[in-house]
Amino acid sequence: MEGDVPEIEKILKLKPAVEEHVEETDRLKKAIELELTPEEAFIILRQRISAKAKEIADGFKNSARAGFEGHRYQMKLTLNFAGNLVLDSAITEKEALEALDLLSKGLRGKKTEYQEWEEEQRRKDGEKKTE
Amino acid sequence: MEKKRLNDLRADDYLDISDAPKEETIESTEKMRTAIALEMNSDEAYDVFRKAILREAKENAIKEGGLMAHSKQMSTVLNFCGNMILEAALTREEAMSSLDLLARGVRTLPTRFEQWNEKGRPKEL
Repeated sequence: MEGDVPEIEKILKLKPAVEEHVEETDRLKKAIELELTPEEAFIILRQRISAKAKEIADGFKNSARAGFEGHRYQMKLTLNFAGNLVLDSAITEKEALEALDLLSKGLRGKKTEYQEWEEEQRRKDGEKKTE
Repeated sequence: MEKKRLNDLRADDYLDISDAPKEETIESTEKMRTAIALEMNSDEAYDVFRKAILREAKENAIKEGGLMAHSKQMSTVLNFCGNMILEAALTREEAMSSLDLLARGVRTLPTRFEQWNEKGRPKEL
């Protein structure tokens, strides 16, 4: 799997925050009027990023590149949004960089969702063999 | 925290990465069903997310003052960024190298606050 991980340098293209580029469609107005909490809005964002990544992967149907391209796109969107969130919230560049540094320290003890999924699969396989 | 000036703010005052919110516990409300049914694209969903964070920060600013609200906003943002990256990256190494890259990218752009100082007050503040 390691060999399939895209090179990060090739996937990040940080663009400025999006509101200037987002058309004020009726559905966007309706969504804003719902006054979702950050947790609720986060779930929607997460779903939309996954849906877009799946759409990209589906475009490479029957190709070995499908998973790679889907993942690459998901990382690109995620990093762009994460970068913009930090730039939107931090007051100074120093604070933004400190925040990212702290985030990397915080992530050191954590597993990715994929790693958790892999462990769960291994556990299930182990249980089947024992049976 | 309250006594600190803006320039004294340090990120380690506010980070606490908890688990991502669980879809199954949140999705069931009518409001969420309506939001999901709108089938927004990812840019729209990000805009809604950003506005939700800003709205919460404004409410906190009224209740607890600007510095505390900012601290909570940063905490929320970092928590969500951390969870988004853990969800997207395959390995921890990929997550860490993506954060390094993010830091490099962030150096090339001004913060919204710095933009405000240069170009004028943003409409939503």
